[in-house]
Amino acid sequence: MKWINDKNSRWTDMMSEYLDGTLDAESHRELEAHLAESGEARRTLEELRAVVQAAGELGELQPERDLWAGIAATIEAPGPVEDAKVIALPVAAPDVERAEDGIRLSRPQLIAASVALIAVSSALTAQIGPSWGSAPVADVPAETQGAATLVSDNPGAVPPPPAIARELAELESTLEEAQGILDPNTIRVIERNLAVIEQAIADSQEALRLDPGNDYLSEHLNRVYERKLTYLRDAANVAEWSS
Amino acid sequence: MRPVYLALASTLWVGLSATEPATRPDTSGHLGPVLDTIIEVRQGDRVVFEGLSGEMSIRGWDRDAIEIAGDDDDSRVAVQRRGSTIEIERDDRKGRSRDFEAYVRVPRWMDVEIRGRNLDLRLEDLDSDVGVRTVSGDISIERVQGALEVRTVEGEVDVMGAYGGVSVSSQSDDVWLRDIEGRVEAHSGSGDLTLIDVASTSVRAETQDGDVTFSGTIDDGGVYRFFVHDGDADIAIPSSTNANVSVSTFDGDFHSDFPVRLDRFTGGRAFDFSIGSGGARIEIQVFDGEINILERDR
Repeated sequence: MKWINDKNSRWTDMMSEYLDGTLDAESHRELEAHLAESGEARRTLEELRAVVQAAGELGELQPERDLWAGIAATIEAPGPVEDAKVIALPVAAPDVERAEDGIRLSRPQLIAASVALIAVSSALTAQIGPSWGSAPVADVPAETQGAATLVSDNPGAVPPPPAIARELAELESTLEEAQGILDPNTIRVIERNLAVIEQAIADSQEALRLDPGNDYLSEHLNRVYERKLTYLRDAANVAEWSS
Repeated sequence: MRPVYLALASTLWVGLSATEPATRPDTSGHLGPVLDTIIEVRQGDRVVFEGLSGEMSIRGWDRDAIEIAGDDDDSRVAVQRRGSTIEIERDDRKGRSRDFEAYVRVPRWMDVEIRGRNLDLRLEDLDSDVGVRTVSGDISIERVQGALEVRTVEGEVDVMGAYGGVSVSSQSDDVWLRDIEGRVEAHSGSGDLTLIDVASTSVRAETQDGDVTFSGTIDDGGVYRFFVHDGDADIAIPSSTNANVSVSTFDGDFHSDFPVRLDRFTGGRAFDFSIGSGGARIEIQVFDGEINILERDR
């Protein structure tokens, strides 16, 4: 299929798997042919490679709790287990009672507070001009907004990977400029969908703050950021061809 | 049914010609008299529908021609040829910006690309590649032999029978894929992903806020990846599966119908185990939700 507009998102997805070593043979050949033809694709691949390398250099930290006992109790290794097994993986969120400042918050409350922080940022930005990069205030439950200051000093927020941060900013700027030509319903839909992604980013950042050594969480957060990038690319395309 | 008037730019008329009326589309049985418009095409041509809103039905047929029928006096489309591409757009020259309803038949061999704003689309019976991008509207697709790519911001996507690989994304609604072959990529921002009767060596499904359900065969050399932020992953695979399974979660439960023989435990919330003699790679990551690996035969 030859799209008039780019197929960047598909290539980017394939590059991620390429770097992970999970790309199937046919796609591997297809991608390498594309890389041979496209300088832009080669640059994108190098940027992604830099992200992977940077993630790898984060190092492996010890989890707050060793879950081996819980899993071992329900898995008979190395022999097969005959019956279906259910493993309830414990939640490692620290007890809110450990908070030294005496504030008692559950993990969902902390996450909600993070979302509220995004909402407050959006509200402040909206006084200058609406931003596509933040969750709209309208999508944030009112009851969460009062907790914003509880996490506003949190230094644990993880920024976008450097390799995609610039493109994210550029796409957000592009969409801001495109708001004048999009119909209000499309703007509403795009904002609502971005809010879902921002929520996932907030969840992941909060989880990483609670469990900074969790490789899965680092990978998950990077993937959500990449999803945001893909979404913004799609939204920018929508702005281009639906206008 | 009323005629669809073709607004043909004179300089672009070359290569397009109207011929005799054709048979009424099967999908228009509820409408009135038909005066169909036929555009002759050649092998290797492709068709692009641009900027349409309303409802459109596209069906493959055996003639080397595109048939367009509509039901509104004011429905107008502009048709032009650019090389081997036939472009069909809404004609807004008089300031019209109306939804329209169209019934289209295209050669089964013809690649089809559709870009709609608020468009409900039904497409079926094509042997070619198909690409769809819309802002909103539901999309239903049946029996596509070529590569299928669908991207919508807001709309449900339902695919039944796609055999040349599928890449589908809906930002805010559910995606249904049934009877699928070839490489599969499925994404939803805030909807469920349901993949049923999938035969593929490469599957990637990801949703930020919704469940992933997969039922299909597992090729010994295949790679199957499932990513969920807030939702469950239910993965149903044959009892004869040979696979190495990686499971990761932040806050979730794990269940397996299969015997679990642990291969690796990282000390966090991730572990690997084998099913059968191993081979295929299955990766399941759920931030907050249940991971269920089920025997499909049950």
